Amino acid sequence: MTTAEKYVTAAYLVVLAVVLLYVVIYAFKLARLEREVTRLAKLAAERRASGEVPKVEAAEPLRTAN
Amino acid sequence: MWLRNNRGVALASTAALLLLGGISLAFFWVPDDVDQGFSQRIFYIHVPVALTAYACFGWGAWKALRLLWTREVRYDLESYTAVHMGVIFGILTLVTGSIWARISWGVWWSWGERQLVLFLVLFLFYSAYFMLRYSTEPGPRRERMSAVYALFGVVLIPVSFLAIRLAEGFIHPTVFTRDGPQMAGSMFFVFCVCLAGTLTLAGALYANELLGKRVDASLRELEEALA
Repeated sequence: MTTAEKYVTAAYLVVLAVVLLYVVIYAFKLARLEREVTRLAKLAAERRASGEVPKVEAAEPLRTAN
Repeated sequence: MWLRNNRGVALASTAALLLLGGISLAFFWVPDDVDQGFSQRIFYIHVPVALTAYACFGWGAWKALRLLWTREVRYDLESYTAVHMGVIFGILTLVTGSIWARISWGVWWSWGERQLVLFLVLFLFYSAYFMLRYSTEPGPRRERMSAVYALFGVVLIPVSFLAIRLAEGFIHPTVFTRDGPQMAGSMFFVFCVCLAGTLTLAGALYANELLGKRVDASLRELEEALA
């Protein structure tokens, strides 16, 4: 492998590495969001069980995918 | 309908296909450049990444303008996400450019090159955007300040882009002139595939990042409502 080939490969690998790093960071973010959703769902379930009316009624309705 | 609901997935798949195809063509199909030989192949990733960074900053400025024009809060998040993407592609431009400079000029960086310095100024300007944004409390004031800042930065894009043509005695190569691209048809084709790939990749990252930020914001609102 020549020096030029090494540098060119390195340049492409840097791009790949940054994109992969971004994917890893994003995976951590998604995991955090999933934990938040689980926690809030649990909190909402507890409120419902105790008979408290959640304030969510006043909030904007959730938009679904369809 | 599927495409509208899964825009991020569609963009990411298209970006992967285009980039894989473009990089394969760049390594195994296009001929070596007469002057630079094999090292010229960095062109197929460095220039598309740089143009994508400009496009992201431009998109961020456009969304900032829409925010100032319509006062719709959603444009603030869109502008911020676009600038975020622009900074990521800016880092890639600086790193791949430095590697190319090392092979071609024997140095990692040249302060005498206006093109390089102006791109660095543009990059640092948009990097400071985050400091400004997070130094103020969330609300209309922060949204307006961020929007104005993003709009100011866009002025640097044409300056940075044209610097290479205005500079004298430069060593940075000029490939696109008024007479069209100064390269073989096969090289230009591969460049276009790679550019389409990086633009689509930026679109995919933007769509996914924006979705994540919106979900995050909705969760915060829900948390406040349940508190």
